[in-house]
Amino acid sequence: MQCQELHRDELAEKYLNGQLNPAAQDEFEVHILECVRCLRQVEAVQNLRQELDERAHQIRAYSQVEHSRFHWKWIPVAAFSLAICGLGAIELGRMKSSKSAGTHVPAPPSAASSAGSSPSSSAPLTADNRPVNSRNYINFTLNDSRVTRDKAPSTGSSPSTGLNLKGQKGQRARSNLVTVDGADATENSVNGVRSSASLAVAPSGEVPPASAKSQTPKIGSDETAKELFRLGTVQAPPYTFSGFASSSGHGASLDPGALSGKPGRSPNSQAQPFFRDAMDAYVDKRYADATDLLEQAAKEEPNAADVNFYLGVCRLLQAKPTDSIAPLQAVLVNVNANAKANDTSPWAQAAHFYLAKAYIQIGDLADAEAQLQTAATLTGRLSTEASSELTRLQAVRASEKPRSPGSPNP
Amino acid sequence: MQEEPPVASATMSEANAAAVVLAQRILAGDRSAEDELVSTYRRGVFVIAVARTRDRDAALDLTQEILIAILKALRSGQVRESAKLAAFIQGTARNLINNYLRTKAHHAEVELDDEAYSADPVEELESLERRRLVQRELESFSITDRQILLLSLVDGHSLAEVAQRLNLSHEAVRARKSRAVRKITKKFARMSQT
Repeated sequence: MQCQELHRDELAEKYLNGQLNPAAQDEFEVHILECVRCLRQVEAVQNLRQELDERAHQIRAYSQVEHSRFHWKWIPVAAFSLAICGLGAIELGRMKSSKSAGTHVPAPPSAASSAGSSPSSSAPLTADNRPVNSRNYINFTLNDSRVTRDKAPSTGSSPSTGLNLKGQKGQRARSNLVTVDGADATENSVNGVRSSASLAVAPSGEVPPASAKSQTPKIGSDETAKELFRLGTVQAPPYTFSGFASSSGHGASLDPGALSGKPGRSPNSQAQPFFRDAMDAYVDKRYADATDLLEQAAKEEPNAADVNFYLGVCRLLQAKPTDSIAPLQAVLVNVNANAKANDTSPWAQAAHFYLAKAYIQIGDLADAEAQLQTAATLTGRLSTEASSELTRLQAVRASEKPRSPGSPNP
Repeated sequence: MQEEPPVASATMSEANAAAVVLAQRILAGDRSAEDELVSTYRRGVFVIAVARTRDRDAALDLTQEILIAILKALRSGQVRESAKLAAFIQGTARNLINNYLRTKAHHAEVELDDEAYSADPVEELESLERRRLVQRELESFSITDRQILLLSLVDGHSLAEVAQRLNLSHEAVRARKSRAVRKITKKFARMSQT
């Protein structure tokens, strides 16, 4: 065996992962006994593996936080880019039109006919005398607005560090930014874009709760509905293959994303191929396929916690909250049956958490609160999120009670 | 600190010749040759034991057991092809580890009167230092690098799978991972030389 071969084929990792056949394994071991350089590399990878294994939860948790931050971080940037592109196109159009029509800007027919406050004369409108709200998006110039932005409809709180193009500290971004010829704030302001995007654009892997689409709970205010929508939103929990715990006990992770190494799971189980294929589909976000395969796996192993958990999650992700309750409850039944003293299953917290999501989606807020309470008390990566959502849900329920004291849960 | 093993800079044939000489010295009762053999092969045997058992404590015990068995064989002249000493050590290690894995109960079959082969505090310190070094380096890596290493080294994903998951190019993942491993390997080498 040559050193180059070892580096090229990543034999060190294959060896440490137990992926070499016996003959190759023997040959590799003889080589590292003879070659100090290769031995050092194997030692490095081995030590790295150990440290990474101990920090796996931390790294995975951090990755999820970063992933969720990603969307919000880029939304203003995307909006800003769109605004810049739009302004560029508009400026180009204006230059073309001013070449053909001098400094006069032709009045768009729609603007002239629809706006009641627009001048009724047939004289061509200029950028200076055109009413603020009757200008179209094609031909306008960039001037400071003559309309105070604070009179514009509220679009919610605005970040002070937003797209403040003129850099005036202490002022709201909306009051002095993107003064697109005085057009209405809700029409073209960046805040308008941000506000609508926050409600309409769901992050990848999320689905809006069914209650928000078809089973809208009868609630008192839009804000409450929005909060319930957000609370019911489901983000697909990660699934990561973490090695074969049965062989070593080393690769087993208690993370919900490390299920194939579940102790006690027979590698020859008939459910295993279904589960493996299902999780391939799950990782690819083919939740319908994953659901079908998990249902077959559940027939073979009706008590398998991982099968039931992901089946419930897949149904939730397909906006079938009612169907998701049974498998998630089965996880808890199985977990409780097998629980040892002082040994909390990693499935319990996740199952409670997603059960809460299901209950929120079907409008059963009391049960949802109970599930979140349990999830928050258990140890795991969802503790913080469960506590936070519990507080928000309790606030929603508290706000609803005085408004409709005799009404059932929304 | 340990000396750099003679095979580091020598060709394999030279290493084989050195192994023959080493075996002859041990057969002749040279105790310093035994120390040399232990210091040369202990780390390699330990790596093998950890890789096969995935249990560092068990690997420490097994390393001692394997080295004792090898020394016993060399002392009594049981090694037929001393030029293939590394292969003999690997075979011995594999068999003893397999025995351990089968029975999950290991006991030293022989006891040498020499205490030079008991747990070496220097080796323990070096092991601890290596671990600290890895911890420091890992802290200095970006989260993306850590994710790449976790997915490939611990979870066993291929580079292509890691690239797909992290939305990076295959080449970027390969380069980042290779750079990280190389960095730690170099630090290990420097540590051994000091």
